[in-house]
Amino acid sequence: MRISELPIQPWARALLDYRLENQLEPHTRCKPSGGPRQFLTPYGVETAEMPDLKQIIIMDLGGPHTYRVIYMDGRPHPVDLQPTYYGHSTGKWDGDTLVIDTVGFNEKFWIDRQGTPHTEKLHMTERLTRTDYNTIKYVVTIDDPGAYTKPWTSGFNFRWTANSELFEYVCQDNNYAPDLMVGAQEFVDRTSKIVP
Amino acid sequence: MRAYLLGGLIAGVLLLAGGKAMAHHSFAAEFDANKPVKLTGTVTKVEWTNPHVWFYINVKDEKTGKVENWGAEMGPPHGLQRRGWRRETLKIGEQVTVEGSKAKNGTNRMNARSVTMTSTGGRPGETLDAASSQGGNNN
Amino acid sequence: MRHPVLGFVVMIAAASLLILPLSAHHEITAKFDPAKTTRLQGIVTYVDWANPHVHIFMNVGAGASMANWAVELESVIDLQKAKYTRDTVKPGDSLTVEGIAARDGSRQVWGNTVTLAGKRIFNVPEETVNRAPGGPTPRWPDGKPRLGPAPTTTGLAATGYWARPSMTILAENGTNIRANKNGLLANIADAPKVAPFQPWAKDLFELRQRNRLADDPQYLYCLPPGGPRQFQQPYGIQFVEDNERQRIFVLIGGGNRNYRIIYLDGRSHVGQVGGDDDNPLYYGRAVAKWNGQTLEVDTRGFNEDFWFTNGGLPHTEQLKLLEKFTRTDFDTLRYDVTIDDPGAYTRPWSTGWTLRWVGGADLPVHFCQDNRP
Repeated sequence: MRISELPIQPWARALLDYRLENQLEPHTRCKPSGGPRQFLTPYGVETAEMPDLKQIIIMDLGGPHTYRVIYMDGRPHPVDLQPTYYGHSTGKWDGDTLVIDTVGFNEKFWIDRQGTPHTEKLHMTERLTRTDYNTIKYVVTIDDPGAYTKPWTSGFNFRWTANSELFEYVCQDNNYAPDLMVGAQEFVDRTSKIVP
Repeated sequence: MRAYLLGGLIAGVLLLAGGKAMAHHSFAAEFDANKPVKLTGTVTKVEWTNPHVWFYINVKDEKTGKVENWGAEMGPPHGLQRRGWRRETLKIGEQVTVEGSKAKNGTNRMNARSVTMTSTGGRPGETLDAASSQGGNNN
Repeated sequence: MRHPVLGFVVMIAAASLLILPLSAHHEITAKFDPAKTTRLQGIVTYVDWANPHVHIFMNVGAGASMANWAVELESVIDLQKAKYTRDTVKPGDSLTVEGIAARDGSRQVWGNTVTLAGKRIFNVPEETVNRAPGGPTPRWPDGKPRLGPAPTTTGLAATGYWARPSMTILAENGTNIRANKNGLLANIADAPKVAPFQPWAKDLFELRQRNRLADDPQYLYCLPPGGPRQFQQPYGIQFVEDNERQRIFVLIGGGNRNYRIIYLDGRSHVGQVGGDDDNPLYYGRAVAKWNGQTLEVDTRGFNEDFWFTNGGLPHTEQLKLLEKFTRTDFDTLRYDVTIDDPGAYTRPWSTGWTLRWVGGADLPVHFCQDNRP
């Protein structure tokens, strides 16, 4: 979706403009990134569908090299959900489309590469349909009354790449991005002495 | 066949279909495409790591004789291997010429677009693509 | 054992009621000095509710002498399990903190006791687990043991994971070394006994221990817990057995919440299809086969940039691991490992421990890089 078409609140539009200018995305600093960002890396994702366990697990190759769990047992979202990077996802089949419903995101990441804003109110719906062997159509609906004036929908396609497998990728191995990234983002405090 | 919607029995990975979305934004946060640089020097160190391979060269200023150490960022090991690199391709002490863009923060660092081995290296005389994140190949 | 009868009674009690010490995520005494007891009163300015450790920032003192201090607490996971949330304290609240100050003189304390309006908060009790007798090992239709969760009869997703290791350092079988949750030796004189070190490796191990594990790359740089270390971590691991593709995913609960793959298709250790066969890895390359009731995993191809165990035993790129997993009952996973690293040890050596099943929940969500810039 074009930026000009986004039903975005003024504060969020200002934030988006700032991010477009500065491009200091958390993903480059090895932060996990929920939402569509998970699928927007050059290395792609792998999936483990475990029907007898009623879970689908999606693995990132790049970025944080982590996994996301989608519960397929019809459970509701917990009421006392504490916000996390990937939120809490439940899924069900609607014909040949996998519909995933997620809430419980924190605000410490970007949902896409350009920095489209979101808040903890985000309720995301993803629809995945494998239209042919090599293609999955991905449609995402962003319902976030904290940043937008109404829900909006966007999407892209996944391409199946045969003859490739997951490889190890550790973002923290030797990442100079925290030193190199320049911009006016004051709250990225590189002087903090707080080391766990 | 619903069980195989997302994956499949044949080895494979789901990738984003190509397009503009692949542009690698953090290149612009770290390097300046308007500050091209071309350096020749001797390799002092190679860091064959994710998310980016880095190597360092001593560059001698011909006029002053002063030697400065520069760091050059390439793509990840996985991307480089597809372009003919191995972990041992760059050897300490060999002479290379690196072309790319300077770091925005003014330090002696650059993003490499290509590397030419000029001396007794793994691939003498060859120029290899550095799998640069500029123009969006990788993460 | 001055009172044999009492000692006997204590042992019986321990068998049925397992008390688990608090799991700190770095060795507290590496950063904080137990001798520097400190008492502070302050007004909260900021709450950084993040893993691996929550920090409460508060202004202490008034006027020209006012200074901002950081109070370090347990992880988000442990605090939330004890029913605290990021709203438990808010900026403007007045807190009293008793703790120990940072070794480097910075304005940080480890908060042993935190009091708000006269009431103690952020108190994370030691975990008590009732060890009910385990049911039988769950199995696949072909009779092989299930290492991961088993399908439920309730229609709910199968959840559960392995945690609560019975040993938290890597020490050779029969050495009976005592160490804390992070692998810090109770007695530094035990260091040479831990494993058949080569002299340089023994010296390095002792140095790491004497530094109280402060140099641990997992906590300094969020580098992964490759090797046996992932099986000694407080937030556990889970197996996802993808039989059709002949592979097992190991999901790791702590550290960076990574996954890794164990292949069961008999491939040689040359890396993945289209992958990085040239590169020594944090998790190595793992190929496994079933031997009766035991999964035997052969892993090699490690780099040297991480600690492969709690406590900092060294290893080199020559390291090969042979790990054996046996689910002896529903709740118990027996883990045995042989370390074969002629670069650091004078011979192969073996050790092992058990992990306990944690049912009804999936791995806690922990990202080491949560509170990094």
